[in-house]
Amino acid sequence: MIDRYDASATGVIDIGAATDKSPSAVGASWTKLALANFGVAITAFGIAATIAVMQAMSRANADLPFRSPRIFYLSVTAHGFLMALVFTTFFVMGLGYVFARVSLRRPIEGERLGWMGFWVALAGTLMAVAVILAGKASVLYTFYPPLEAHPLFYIGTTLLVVGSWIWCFVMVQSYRAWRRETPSKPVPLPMHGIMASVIVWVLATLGVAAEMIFLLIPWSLGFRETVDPVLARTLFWWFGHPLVYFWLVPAYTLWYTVLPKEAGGKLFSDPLARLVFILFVLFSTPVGLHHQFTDPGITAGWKLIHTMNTYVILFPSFITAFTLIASLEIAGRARGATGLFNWVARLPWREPFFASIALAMLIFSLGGIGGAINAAYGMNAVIHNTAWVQGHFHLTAGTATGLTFMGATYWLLPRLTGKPLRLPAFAAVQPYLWFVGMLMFSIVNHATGLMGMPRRVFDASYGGHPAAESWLAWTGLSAIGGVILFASAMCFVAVVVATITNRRGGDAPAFAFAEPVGGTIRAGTILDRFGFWTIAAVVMIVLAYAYPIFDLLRMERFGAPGLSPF
Amino acid sequence: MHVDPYEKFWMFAAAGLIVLFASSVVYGAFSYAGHPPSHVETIDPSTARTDPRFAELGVVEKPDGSVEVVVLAQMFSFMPGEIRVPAGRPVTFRVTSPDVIHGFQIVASNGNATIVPGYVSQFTTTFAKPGEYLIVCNEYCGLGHHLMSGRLIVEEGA
Amino acid sequence: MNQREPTNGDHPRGTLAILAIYGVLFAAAWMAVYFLIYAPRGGVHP
Repeated sequence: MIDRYDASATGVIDIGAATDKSPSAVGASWTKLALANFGVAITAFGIAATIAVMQAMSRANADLPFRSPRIFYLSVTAHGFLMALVFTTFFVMGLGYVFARVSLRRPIEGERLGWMGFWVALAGTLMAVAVILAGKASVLYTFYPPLEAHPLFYIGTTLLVVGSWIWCFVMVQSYRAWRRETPSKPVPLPMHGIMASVIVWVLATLGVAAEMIFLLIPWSLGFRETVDPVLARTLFWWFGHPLVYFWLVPAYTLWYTVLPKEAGGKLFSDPLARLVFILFVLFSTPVGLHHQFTDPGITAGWKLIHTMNTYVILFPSFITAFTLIASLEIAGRARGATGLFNWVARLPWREPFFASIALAMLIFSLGGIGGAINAAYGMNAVIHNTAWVQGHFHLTAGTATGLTFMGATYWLLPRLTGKPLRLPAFAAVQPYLWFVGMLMFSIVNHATGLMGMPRRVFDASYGGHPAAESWLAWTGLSAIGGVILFASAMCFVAVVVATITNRRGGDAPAFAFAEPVGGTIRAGTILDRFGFWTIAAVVMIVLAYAYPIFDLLRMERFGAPGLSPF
Repeated sequence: MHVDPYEKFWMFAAAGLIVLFASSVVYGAFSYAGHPPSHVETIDPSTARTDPRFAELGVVEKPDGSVEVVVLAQMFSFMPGEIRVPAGRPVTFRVTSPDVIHGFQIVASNGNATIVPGYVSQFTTTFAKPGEYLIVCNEYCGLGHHLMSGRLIVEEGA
Repeated sequence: MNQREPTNGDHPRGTLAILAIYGVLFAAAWMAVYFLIYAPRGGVHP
C-alpha cells in the first residue's frame, strides 16, 4: 500500500479523482479559484512594480513628467498597499487552495465560500485602491492617524481582511475534514505550513480589525471626533509584524516542501520544519513594539520585553537555514559532488523555480542580519525611519517573499493550467536580474540610512545641507537598482501573460512534494496539534500586550482630530 | 525527534548568537543608558501651543547645569528651527505636535523620537562633538514632509 | 525508512561550513554597527 503522505517512490502525488470530475488540476473548479486569487495578486504586483520604478527614480531627483510631492506620496501609498497587502494576501490565498487540495488529496471544504471570500476581498481592494489613486488616501499602507483618509480606504481594507478570514475558515474546514477522515497520519507538511499561516493571520488581524472597527472607521465617518494615535499605532503593529510572517510562512512552506524536490534532493528534516512553523505561531505577534521603539506613551520596560521575544524569533529562521541548505547539499551530492562547497555549483541554477528560491534564500540571509540590528532596542534609533528600513524590507518582504512567489508561479502555472512556461529565457534570467537589482537597491539604502537619510521623503536635499549632499550622491545607484528590479518584474509579468495566453496545452506536470529524510512525525503528537499551540500563542499575546494596552487606556489621554494634508 | 548532530550543533551556536545579541542589548541598556526614547506624558494637542509646558520654546539652562530644549513639531517645521546647545553637557529634548505624527531625528546622533499629538516625547543625551547637525522629520506628515527640517548647533565650551 | 541521510553516511559538512561563515558575518555586522556607530554616539536616557 502506498503511504499517503510519502506518496510513492518518485514522491509524485496522485491528487486523485476523489469527487472531482477531472483527474488533474487542469480545468478543475478549485483550480479556477486558485487562479483567480493568483491573477489578482500578479496584477497588483505588476501595477505596484510600475509605480515603484517611478518612485525610485523620483527619489534620485530624476526629472520625470508629473513628478510632484502629491503624486509621490500617493504612489508610496499605492505601492505599499498593493505590494504589502494585496499581492501578498491574494497570493497566499491561492497557494492555500493549491496546498490544501493537493497535499490533503481531497476536495476543498467550502469552495463556494472560498469564492465569496475572493469577491469580498477583491471588492475591498478595488474600493481602497480607487480612493488611493484619486488622491484621497495618501496615508501610506500604515495609515497612522491623525492622518485621515477617505472612509472607503478603511472600509475597503477591512473588507480585504474579512475576505481573507473567509479563506481562513475554508482552510480550517478543509483541514478538519481531512483530519476526521485520516486520523492515523500527521497532517502533510504543506498543509501544516498553511495552517500555521492561518493561525498567525487570524491572531494578527485581531489587532488591525480592532483598530479599524473601534477607532478609524467610526472616526472617518464622523462618529468620533478624535483618535489616540499611540493606541492606533499599537493595534496596527500588533498586526504589522505578524503580517510579515503571513508572507514568510507560506514562502517557507514552498522552501521546505517544493524546493528540495525540484532541486533533486530530499527534505533534511520534516519534524524540524513543523517545529519551525509552531515557533512562528508562538512568536509572530508578541513582538510588535519593536516597530514602536521611539514612540512616547509606552515604557522602556515593555519595549525591552518585545525585544527579547523578537530575538527568539530569529531561532526558527536559523533552523530553517540549516535544514534547507542541508537538503540542497543532498541534491548537489546526488549529482556527484564530493568537495566541501562544490555541490553548490551542481545545483540546477538554470531552472527558474530553483534559481528564484535559492537566490531568495541567499538575499533573505542578509535581511536577517539587518533585522537583528533593527530589533536591538536602543540601537534601533540609529536606523529608525531612515532609508535603511526600505533597504531592509525589500530584502525580506520584497525578495524572500516576492522573489519566492514569482518563482512559485513558474512552478504552479504549468501544473494548474496544463500550459508550458513560455519565454523560458526570460524566466531563467528574471531571478538573476532581481538578485542584482535588489543587491544594488538594498545595499545603497542601508548605507544612506546609516548616514541618516530619512525614508518616505519626496526629495532629500534639505536645502543643500552637507549631510544631505553625502547621501544624495548615492540615490542614483539606488534608482538604477530600481530600474533593474523593474526589468525583472516585467520579465516575470511577460512570462505569465505569454504562458496563460498560449493555447497549446500538453500534459500538466504532476504536483510533487519533497520526501523527508528520516520520515515524519506520528499523528496526534504535540507537533501535530494546532489547538494547543493557538492557545499558547494567545497566552503569549496577552502577556506581551495586555498590560501596555491597559496602561494606555487608563492614562488620561487626549485624542487628536483628523487631518488630510495631501 | 532525531536531530542530526551537525544540525544540533548549529542550533546551539544559533542560540548562542541570539543570547549574545540579547545580552549586549541588556548590558548596553543598563550600563550606559542605551534606551530608546520612552517618555510617558500626555498633553491636549488642541491646546499644545499655549500649554505652559510649551509656552516658551527653545533652549533653557537649568540650575543644575543641564540644558532643556522645548520644541514644537508641526506641519512642516520645527519651532524653533535653529537650536544651540553646549557640547559635553546633558541635553533634554521635550517635543510635541499639535497636529499629526512627526519624527524628530538628529542626523549623526542617537536622537530619534516619534512625536505624537497627545503625547510629550522626551529624551536626554549628550553631544560630545561640536558642529551643525541636521534635524529631519522622518515620519510622513503630509505633502510638506520633506521640507521639514531644523538645525542643531552644538557649541564648544560654555 | 532509512534513518540516515543518503549522503553515504556523511553529515552535511558543507552546510555547517557555510553557516559557520554566515554566523561569524552576522555577529561581526551586528557588533560593527553597535560599537562603531551606536555606542560612540552616546547614551539616551528615556
